[in-house]
Amino acid sequence: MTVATPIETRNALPRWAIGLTVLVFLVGGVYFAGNLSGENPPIIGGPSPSAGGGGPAVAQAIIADAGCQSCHGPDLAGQGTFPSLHGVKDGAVSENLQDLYAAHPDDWAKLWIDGTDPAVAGLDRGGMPAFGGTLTPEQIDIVVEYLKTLP
Amino acid sequence: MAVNPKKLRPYDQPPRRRRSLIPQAPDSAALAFLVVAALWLLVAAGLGATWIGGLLFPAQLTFQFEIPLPIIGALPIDISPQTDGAAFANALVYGWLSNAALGAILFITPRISGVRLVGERTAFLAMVAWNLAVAGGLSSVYLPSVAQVGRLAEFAIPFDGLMLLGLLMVNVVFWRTVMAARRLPYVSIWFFGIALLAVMGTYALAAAATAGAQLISLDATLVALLVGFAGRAIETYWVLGVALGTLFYVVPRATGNPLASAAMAMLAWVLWAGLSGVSALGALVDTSIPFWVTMLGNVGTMLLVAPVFLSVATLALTIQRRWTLVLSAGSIAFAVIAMAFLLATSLLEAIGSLRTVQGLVRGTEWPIGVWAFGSLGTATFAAFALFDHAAPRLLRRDWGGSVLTDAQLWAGFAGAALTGLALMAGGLAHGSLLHQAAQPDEITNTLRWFLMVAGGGMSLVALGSAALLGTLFLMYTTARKASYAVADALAAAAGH
Repeated sequence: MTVATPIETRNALPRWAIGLTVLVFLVGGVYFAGNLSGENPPIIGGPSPSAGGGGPAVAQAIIADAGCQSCHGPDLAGQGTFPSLHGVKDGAVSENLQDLYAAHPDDWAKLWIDGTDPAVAGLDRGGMPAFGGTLTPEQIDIVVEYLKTLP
Repeated sequence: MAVNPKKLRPYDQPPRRRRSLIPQAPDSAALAFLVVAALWLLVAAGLGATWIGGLLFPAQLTFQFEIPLPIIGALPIDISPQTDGAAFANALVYGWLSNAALGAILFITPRISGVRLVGERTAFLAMVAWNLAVAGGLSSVYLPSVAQVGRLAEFAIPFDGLMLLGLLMVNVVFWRTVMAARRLPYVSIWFFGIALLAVMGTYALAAAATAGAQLISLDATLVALLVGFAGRAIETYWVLGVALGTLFYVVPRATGNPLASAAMAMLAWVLWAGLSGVSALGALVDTSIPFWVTMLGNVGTMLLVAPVFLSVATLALTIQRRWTLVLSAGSIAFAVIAMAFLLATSLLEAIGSLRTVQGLVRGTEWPIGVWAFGSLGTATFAAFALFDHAAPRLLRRDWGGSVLTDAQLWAGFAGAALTGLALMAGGLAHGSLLHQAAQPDEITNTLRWFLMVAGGGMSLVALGSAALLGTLFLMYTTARKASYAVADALAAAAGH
């Protein structure tokens, strides 16, 4: 039976290795010192600073991250059995949402996307996930405001 | 009294040695971890291809339905690009890379410490626990009623517990073996030690956070931050750490050269151990976190270039005068590709940490592309290098490679490079379009091309993983039996 053998090593630490490390730390330190001021954006899944004021770029980022286009189509105009979201500004976008729209004409879309409110408990979601667990109310507001701007 | 064996009657023969249900022969656990890892790579690559296919054809590859069950009523199932993406990431990190990492640790530790693994059975049970947890956890990702939220923390709570149990068992075996060693540990052991403790700690943190969200309604933002921190720490401490430790073992062994500079390797270890934790602070992005804390994390990610460069330099100097080994598919070719991906990943992560770049690529495919470089490139090829070195020794076969090894190398390399580059380029295009407030259909149409290339890359990775499985099968079934080194305390003490 052959046996385990240790790995031979040489111990010298080249000067350039020390120099390189010091240089990298100096560059990092200078960059850190020059970028101390600023404000973080809201975490995806966390609250946003201004409800409903995220703008189209923020809304598009949230929509892309939430995967809305995977069902409602690349331009959110609907595909297969999934309805178009271009009519959100005019009211319910599918048959199963008519009652919800009638009962909550102002916030039906928010309630529907959130999916956790008792108001939508008995509705057939048709495969639509409840985003209340992954998006904050503020993010849902941003998305709804954006959807209302679609032609 | 002398016994003539030719005259032994059946009832005189000694009883045959019974096989234990839990193997305890040397290297049983390492072999099991590595074989299971190879299977997980195929699963992960398949899930990755499905995920990208789902992004391209969502209507055809989205299935949401309920399975009626007698007691709980109905079990909702969600098969969509979102769940496929989560399953892919978890299968790759916890299925492929972690099994390969644990197998590498259990293979390497006895060989460089000169002591047999203390607790072979415990390690084997850890393999069973870990893989049951990963299989169950992956299934739970598709069950919206039990799945958790957060990158690399989607598994249902019970499976988190089983995974932590597996990690605890491997930690116990590893540390008991290292403590029993009679010589100062080689640098790989230092990497493995920190990596094992860190992955257990950070996974426990993420599991506690997601459990807290369910059980005591912990604040969602706090949970998201903790899970984000843990996910990044798992990448830097576990995935990167084990890849470095493995390369520091394989390269000197496969070249037959001494490690060029132990001091440089140890400097790399010190910097990696310190900066990995700092780098994870960069994942704390929220208005509730002081900006300087996040920036410190970003600077930590940039500074990780230093230990990576020192490691690659040490390994490259170790290969000196043996560079011809790169010309044939084998441990050194795999290791050199891993080193190239390692350098590229650390530089791309450093670039991605710059404030201006983050403003462009946040929320796009760029970070996924860089992550693909690190996981499918660096860590996967470091594991391939170990497989090429360890598999013949574990299976006790005389193996010189086959055309399948070439297929594994080229398909894996092209696949990882294409996937990573396509996603990064797609992320840049996505970010630019978002800043121009482009319409969703324009963004989707542009991304379609990048996703198609990434899907092709992922299919190549699947091909490479099939080649790895084919190599293992051929090695076991067709190669001649051979004997290799087995760690033994007495022999080590004798100075062999």
